[in-house]
Amino acid sequence: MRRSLIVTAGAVASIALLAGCGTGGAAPRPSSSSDISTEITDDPVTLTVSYVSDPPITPLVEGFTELHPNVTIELVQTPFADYQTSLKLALASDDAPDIVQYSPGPMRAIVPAGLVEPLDEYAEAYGWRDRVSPSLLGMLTSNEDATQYGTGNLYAMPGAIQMIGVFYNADLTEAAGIDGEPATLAEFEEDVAAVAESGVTPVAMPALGVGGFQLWSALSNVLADVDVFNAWVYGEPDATLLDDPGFTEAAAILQEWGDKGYFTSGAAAVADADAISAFTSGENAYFVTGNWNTKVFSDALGDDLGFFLLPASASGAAAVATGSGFPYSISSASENKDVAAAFLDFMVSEGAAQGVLDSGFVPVTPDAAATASGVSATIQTGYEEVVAGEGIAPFANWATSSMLDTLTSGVQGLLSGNLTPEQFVESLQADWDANHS
Amino acid sequence: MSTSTTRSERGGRPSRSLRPGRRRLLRGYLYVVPAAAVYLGFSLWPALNTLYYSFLEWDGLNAGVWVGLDNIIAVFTDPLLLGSVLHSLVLVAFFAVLPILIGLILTGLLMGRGTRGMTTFRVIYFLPQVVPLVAVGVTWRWIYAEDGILNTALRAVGLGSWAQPWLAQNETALIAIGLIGTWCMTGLCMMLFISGAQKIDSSLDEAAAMDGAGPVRRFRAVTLPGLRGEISIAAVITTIAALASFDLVYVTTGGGPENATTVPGLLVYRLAFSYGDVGSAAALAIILTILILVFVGIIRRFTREPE
Repeated sequence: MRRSLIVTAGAVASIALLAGCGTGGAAPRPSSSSDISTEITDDPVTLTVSYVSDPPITPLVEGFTELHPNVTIELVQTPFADYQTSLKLALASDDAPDIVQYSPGPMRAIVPAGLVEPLDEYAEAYGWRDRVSPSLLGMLTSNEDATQYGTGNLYAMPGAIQMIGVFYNADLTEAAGIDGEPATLAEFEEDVAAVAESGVTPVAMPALGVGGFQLWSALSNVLADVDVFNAWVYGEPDATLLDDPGFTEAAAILQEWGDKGYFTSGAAAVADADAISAFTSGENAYFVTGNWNTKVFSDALGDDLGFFLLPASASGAAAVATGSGFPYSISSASENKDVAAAFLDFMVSEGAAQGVLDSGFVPVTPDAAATASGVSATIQTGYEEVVAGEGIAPFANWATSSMLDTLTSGVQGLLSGNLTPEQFVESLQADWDANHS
Repeated sequence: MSTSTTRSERGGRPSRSLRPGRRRLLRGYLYVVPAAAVYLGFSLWPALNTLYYSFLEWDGLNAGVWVGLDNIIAVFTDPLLLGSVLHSLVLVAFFAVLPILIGLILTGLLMGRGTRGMTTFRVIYFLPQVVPLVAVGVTWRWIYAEDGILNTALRAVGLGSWAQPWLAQNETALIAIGLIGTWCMTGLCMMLFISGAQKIDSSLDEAAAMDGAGPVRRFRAVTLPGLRGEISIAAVITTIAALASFDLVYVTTGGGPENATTVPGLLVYRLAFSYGDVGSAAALAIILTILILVFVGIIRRFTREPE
């Protein structure tokens, strides 16, 4: 009897505590800081930067602290999977970092909670929007609820460019009798067929990882209307992939290549790392992937490594590619927002170009004096063509927080033949609809 | 009332309301407090929290919305979530049933042969338990690959037509993962059974042998009943490992191909940390916990000593 009383009391206390517990009431929205400055202090300042990807952060920090010796930047790196999970807690904590690498997934909760600073006043003061391609800023601007992108406040600035294109092993393509790079998608398909005839599996396809749907994205970019795709990823009301046949066509090509044996069989169990090692050891001639792999590829293949943007159906069409900047945001809790903003400004200045190039990435603002060599120079040229053309298209998996898994399993369905190209595109739209209701 | 009690205590006269027996009881609770606080704070409290979260639509940061039983119902109506629960039930056969059967056979063989070379066998069979599951998963992904050891071996012995990308096909992927579990768990079961079998009074075995029982009969009549407790423990441990599996699936297939190998642990992780859907993740975790409790209850019931 008495024991049950104690248990009941304990349970009641627990429930009382539960009611008051951390479903985290909305944090206060940042007060609009009208007193921003582009002049930074000469006093010693320490900034903390929390990030995932390196490079490009190290060359950026080195370049900035060289210009401002009074600023010390502490770098805190977290692996990608942990970063996604810990970023919310880190920004909500008492000692939040000053600058964080922006990641669209967790930002869907962080932006509405007001934990990162809107950068519009700094953008105006520094003239960022004139210097940076609007296609790079689309995914970094959103409404205050983070339900729609490409509109509203600017929450991050890009530090370096990542972009998807076709890497190839010239040793294998030349052995298959291919002369030069394709000018149209049809020519590229002929080249792929020629490599297959030479007895080499032409295309690396890590369908267990992100590599599978990146081929679909790249094909979609050149086959479908980029504006439709952008609107869809940005979450504009009633956006749909179903009305443009280009997305289905892209899926059909991917499926056809699978059926013809252009990919390693069993691609659905090939991880990104496995495909990278297959490509660098000369097992595949082509790999449609991002320039974050440039260094690994060129270390292994040397002068045999080549790069081109996936060509469009018609020769001479405006260039387009999937990509993004490595974006960085300023924490609302930062006590040195002006210094942090000065760092973001440095990232998109000519002064940062050489360091970023040396690290294997494309600088946001090119510097005539900065020199790149080999494939890095080709990628740089490709990026400039894209910015002058249709612009950078966002990563498809940013459309919703579950889209990465929907795309991955969808591509696996295309490869196994369980999904038709139409069903694949419908599955993506179903995910979108479920997240935008 | 309380002050008068205190005063009378100071006076050294036990008050009527606080007899020595009751004081001893209170002191007893005092000793339990540290352990109870740790258990409440780090086990019961998070569990109650999870239950509470399962009634919310919550992204982990902004204010949550009460949705009642919607999340729990979704576990049974959403084919993705329900599928993951069904997959984990299939894994029970590979993580628990097969290892216990193989473990029993190995125990019978090793016990029958006496103790010679026993240590070597034990080390060999137990080794998979020592290797981290992530390393196990990556290694098996290579073994199962299109040009991996398994397919190479099949082709070498003329069974090339059987060679296939095991983890890349919906029909074979879950079974392939299950067999990795069998490989991991068999050693654990065998170790438990051998240590149990060594405790059985050898005179029982000898008496049965005198009565003319062969090795198989002796195993069934003497060793097996003596291992009741060990089988129960092994079944509980391996069943929990099957239902709560995460790391093995995460590194071998990531739930693919086409969600054919998703398990609740994987989806709880994805929902909570990638999709920002803490409520659904908590609901799935609650269902998983109930499922595990049901299984453990059934196992304990079936392996209880007959009265």
